[in-house]
Amino acid sequence: MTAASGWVPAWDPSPLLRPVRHQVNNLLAPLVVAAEILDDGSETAALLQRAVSRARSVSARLGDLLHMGPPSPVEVGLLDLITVLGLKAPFGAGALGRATVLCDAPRLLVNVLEELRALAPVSLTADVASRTFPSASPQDCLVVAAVFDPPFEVPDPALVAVPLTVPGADVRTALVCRETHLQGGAVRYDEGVLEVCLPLVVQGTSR
Amino acid sequence: MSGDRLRVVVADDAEVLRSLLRRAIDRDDRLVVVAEASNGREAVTLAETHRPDVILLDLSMPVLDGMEVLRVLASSYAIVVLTGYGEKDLGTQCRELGAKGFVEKGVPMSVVCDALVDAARTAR
Repeated sequence: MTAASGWVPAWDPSPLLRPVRHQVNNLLAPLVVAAEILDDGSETAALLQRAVSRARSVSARLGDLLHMGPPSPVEVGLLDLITVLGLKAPFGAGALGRATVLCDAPRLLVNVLEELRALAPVSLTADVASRTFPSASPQDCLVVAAVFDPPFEVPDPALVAVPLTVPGADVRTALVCRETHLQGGAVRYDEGVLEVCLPLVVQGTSR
Repeated sequence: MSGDRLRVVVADDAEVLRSLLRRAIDRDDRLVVVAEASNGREAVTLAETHRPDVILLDLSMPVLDGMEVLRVLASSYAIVVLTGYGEKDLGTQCRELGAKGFVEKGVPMSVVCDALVDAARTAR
């Protein structure tokens, strides 16, 4: 705490991120608190803390990644989401059960997605996502696109499936999804509309 | 020894975060949450009902926002603002309205709890 002002900052965002500090904070705050509640030395707690740390770290570099001016709140939120989900839903079955009891972790994840979606002023396709985040994999970009076109459901705590429709997707994207990244997932491409049920692999399970 | 704990009202419209904050604060043996408010109006009502030692207050809330709650309650209660906004946005204004602390969402819970204890003890 800074004694003079009583102000306690959580982080020091870059100038580009300062305009969206509020959105990033609201996105990450539940994860931060959840990580502390679960701070019993468990793998879940450690992974949650890693997710928060990575999200902040990647967000702080966002300005360097983008060449289209300052990031929008949506872009920042999306990059956070990529980062968080980049851990592939970091819950083993046992840890997930414990997390569900303690802080309803799957619900938390859904809430993060809902919050991101609420920030979205425009639709975003996987193609746009791939151009915005060139280092992201096609699968990551589809996860991003999923935020904008739910329903998003968590039918099974051990398997987070993301049904999505991506208007404006191109054939190449569809093929990449079908052949490379989405074995086991349902993919259908028709007249520029890509429909995917994207399985995210949960640690400790196979899919 | 819960009777020795400082009594806290948590006001935040985000249900998941509010629930998590309660769990985290209750783990601190200096503090106990006596009520949760999901909007500013509830915060005022619950403060008058429970007479807490300190209130943890979000700013962006429906019905009555945190700034309005500060105007109503800061003269009678120790209040720590927990918000996603940065200091330059609202910190000065909150302090002028009587907030005893202004903490950014995302800080470690130990910092939040220390701020609550400091605010309550300063107000005594």
